[in-house]
Amino acid sequence: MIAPHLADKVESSADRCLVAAAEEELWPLYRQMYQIRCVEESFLKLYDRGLLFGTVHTCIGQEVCAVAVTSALDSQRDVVWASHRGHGHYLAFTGDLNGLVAELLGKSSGVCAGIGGSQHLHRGNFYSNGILGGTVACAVGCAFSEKMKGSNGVVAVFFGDGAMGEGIIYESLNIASLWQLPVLFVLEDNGIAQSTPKQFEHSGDLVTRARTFDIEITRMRADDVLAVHESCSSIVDLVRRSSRPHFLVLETTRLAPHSKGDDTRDPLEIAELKRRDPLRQHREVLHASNPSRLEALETEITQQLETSIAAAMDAGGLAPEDYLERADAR
Amino acid sequence: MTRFITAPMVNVNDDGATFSAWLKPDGTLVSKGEIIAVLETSKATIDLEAEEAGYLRIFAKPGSQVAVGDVLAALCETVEEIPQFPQAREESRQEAAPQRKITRKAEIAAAKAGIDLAVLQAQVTGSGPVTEADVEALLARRGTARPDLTVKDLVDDAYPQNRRQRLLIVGGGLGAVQLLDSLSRTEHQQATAIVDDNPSLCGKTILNVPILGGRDAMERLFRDRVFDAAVVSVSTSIDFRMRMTEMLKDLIIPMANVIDPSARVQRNAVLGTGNVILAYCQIGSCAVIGDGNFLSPYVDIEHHCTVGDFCTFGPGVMMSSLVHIESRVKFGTGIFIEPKLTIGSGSIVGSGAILTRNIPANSIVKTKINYTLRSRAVSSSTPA
Amino acid sequence: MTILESLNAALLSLLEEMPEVVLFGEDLLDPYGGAFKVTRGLQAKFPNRVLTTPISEAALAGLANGMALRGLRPVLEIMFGDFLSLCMDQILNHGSKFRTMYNDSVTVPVTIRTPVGGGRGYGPTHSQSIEKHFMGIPEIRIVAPSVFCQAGEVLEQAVRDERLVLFLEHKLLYTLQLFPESAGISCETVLDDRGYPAALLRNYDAGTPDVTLLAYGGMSRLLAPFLQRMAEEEIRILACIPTLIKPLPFEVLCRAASESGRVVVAEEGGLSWGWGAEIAARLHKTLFKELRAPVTRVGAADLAIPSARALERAVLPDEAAMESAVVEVLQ
Repeated sequence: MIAPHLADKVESSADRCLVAAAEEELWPLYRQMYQIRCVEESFLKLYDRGLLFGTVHTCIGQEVCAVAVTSALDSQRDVVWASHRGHGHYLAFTGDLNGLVAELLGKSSGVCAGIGGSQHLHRGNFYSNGILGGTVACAVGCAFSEKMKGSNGVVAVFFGDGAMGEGIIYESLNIASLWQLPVLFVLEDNGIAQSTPKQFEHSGDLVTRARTFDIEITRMRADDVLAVHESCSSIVDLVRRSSRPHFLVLETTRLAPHSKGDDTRDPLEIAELKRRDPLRQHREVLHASNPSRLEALETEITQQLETSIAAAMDAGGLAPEDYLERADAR
Repeated sequence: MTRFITAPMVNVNDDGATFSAWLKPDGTLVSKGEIIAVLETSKATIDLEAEEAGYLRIFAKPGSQVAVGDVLAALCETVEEIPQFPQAREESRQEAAPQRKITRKAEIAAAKAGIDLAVLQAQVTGSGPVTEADVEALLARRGTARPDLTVKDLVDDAYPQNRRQRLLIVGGGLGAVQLLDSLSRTEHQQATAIVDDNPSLCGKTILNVPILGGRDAMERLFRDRVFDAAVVSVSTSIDFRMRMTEMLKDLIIPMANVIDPSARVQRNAVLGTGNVILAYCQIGSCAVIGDGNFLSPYVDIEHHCTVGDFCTFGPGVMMSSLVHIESRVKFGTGIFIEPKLTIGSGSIVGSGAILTRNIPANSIVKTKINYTLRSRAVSSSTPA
Repeated sequence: MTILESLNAALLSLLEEMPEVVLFGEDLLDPYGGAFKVTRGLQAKFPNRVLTTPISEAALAGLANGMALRGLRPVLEIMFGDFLSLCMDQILNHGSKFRTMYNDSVTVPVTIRTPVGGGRGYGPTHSQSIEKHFMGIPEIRIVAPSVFCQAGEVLEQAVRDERLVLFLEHKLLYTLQLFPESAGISCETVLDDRGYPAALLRNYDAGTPDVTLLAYGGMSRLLAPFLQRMAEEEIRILACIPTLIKPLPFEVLCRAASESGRVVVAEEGGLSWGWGAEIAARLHKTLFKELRAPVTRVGAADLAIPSARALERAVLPDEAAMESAVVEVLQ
């Protein structure tokens, strides 16, 4: 039998309606989601034009996860670890648009001077890396530090259902629970790993895996950013107060390909998914409420982005010889 | 049938004895029961009898320590017979003679200088390990003749003039076969032993002549009077011939010329030592030949030509008169040399060359021989 | 003082002096004190900063990386060097990369201590000198104490190093005395340009060496008797034993190599693709005209390290292998 305190907190957002009191809270969250969407779509366009070297993994369709969780964190003391699909988390947590755009365009004004690129970002308390699962262990180490330093900080680590195949995640869950570390594990379950649907990757229920390690679980559909944000706020508070890990499962939808042009899903299925795009649904609500405010917000975001891209295009890159200088072995 | 005489078990307390003296000289025909040698143990001296009649061939050296079972001598049915040296004896001898340690550094220096370790052991005096400095001193001494001991003295002492000269063949390869073939038809020489550094050849024979060990064995075999003089049979490596000659000189072992009976050496020709001259060669009148040369069949060194040391001639090298060939020149097969030319030392002349001008030292003379090669049409009925 | 005592004392003083130091690894709980007892007594003194862990090497290395990013100086013990393979992803794709890929905005002062090497019959998966598999990883440092250094001080330096350091402790060194008495051998310590000590042993008083021998870690246990024996053979040897083995303290090695122009590199790891190969390539380029013989390597056979004593001996390099290499370069 499962102990009562371990029972899933399964919350449905379907029956929630956006009441007027909450609407004001939605504006800044929508602003972040919209910015993420615009930035990532422009990355894909830059890529198509051959101006973006390398690759990008967008979170188009999953913006709710990044925005709802990071908006519940304190960027001064809390830490975020993201994975390869981390632009949204970066923008939502750090707000550093110019640093991200320049980074993707390989400029020295990029947050990591063009060395890290899309998957390897660090600014302040934000970290990301392109290796699935490995980031989770690093996040647990960060949580150990925060606890030992007494900073009262919480570490949130984002990973997808694909990464749940990595063994190191289970080692990390065990230690985080064993040592009572303030980690918020955020599983963004989009049901697809690169091109492989979840049923070809996992047996059993992903959600219950964390329970084995005596970790509390919350599972919810990540469609309503406000609802998820509210839940996250109380979860983060719980993690901070109890210094115990929590496992949050956000069921979400990836609308874009894994990377670029590698989506093998049925176009009809994707079209149906897009119809239920949370960004679109939130926009409809705000448009109904105050169309001119919405237009002003969207224009501002778009112009900001255009300025940012133009500035990054003009900027220079790190000089190769300066980079080569850094080698430890000479 | 050769019978070996071994050291007997003379005393239960002793593992061996001191070999005192031979009472009969090497080569003597002894009869059965004749006392031929004396052994000494801690308790007594023991006479050694010949178990049967035969020609005595002596191995053991007076004053040496011998272990029970060591081969001391052989009794042969005929005076020409060459007893094959059993391996076991060599091993026990190595144990018996405690050797001075040679440092690795000295070993390396000796190897670089081409000094054999046995020579090093023998020629360095003093106590403690043989050192690099000893090797350097030995190298410094080289070339300065020892007034008290010369090769000539040893040759005169080594064997009576009325007996065939017994030869050690250095190198047990194809050259040795040619040499032994030539020697089988000569009156004044006979091969008694071969040394070769390939340990797997030890104990085998070539044309009935035994291979008695590697170069390390030369000094002992000479001391034991297994041979009177040595000749190096290796034609292919001039370097090896030089090194071995040097080592033999260091050991004060005389060198011999081997000349096939079908070769002709004309009047007033002068030969050094250690030369091999095979079938149908001609050494013209007044030609002068140095040391350690190897002449394959049909080589013609014409009158008044000179040849230095350690040259190798392939078959059919012909020259006109007054040609001057310096040292360490290697000739291929079928070469013609115009008169009065000088062939510089260290040169290599390829087969089929016709030399019409002087060759400077260390040259390589290549010949271009054009020919076409194609498969011959073979009908199916022709046996393959 | 033994190497083990020296390392243990160093860890104690690190815990006392640096509050950001954390020790963790499997079986560190006192009274057991770690499989090789290097941390014995420390967990009892610092129960909150010396932690015994689950058997999860991959996550432990990840934890160390995360701790280091957030201001701690983790010292992770991996019970056997062979298990470092389980940490490979965290070392290769995380810890070694953060500093550079985040544009030098972080440091990752992680130290991973681990016993390495054979000679105890532990067999294929508990005897390896596994470091060559890590030597190609940019940005990390690999440090190995020898008997000719203050092992504890070198460990302290590794922990204070801002880079990820693999600290390799050869199992056979633990019980040996630091700086063993060795008649006729002089020992001098020099510092490389990153401040790690290298020992220079000489078995001669004056003149130039015949051969320069480069070795590290466990091979150092063989050197004093080996150099004494070589002295008896009149072979003058300069042995250079760095503690920083990767990146190469090249100036120190190169200076030692040029003293003789004949170089033997001895390592316990498998011969191919190893430390010696890298040194040989670089020395041949830098000292091409000064070298009097090709740089010659001594190492283990490229095979699993067998358990049986005779087989293990046959695979691992010993004094005889060093001697034949020395003779080879002299010839």
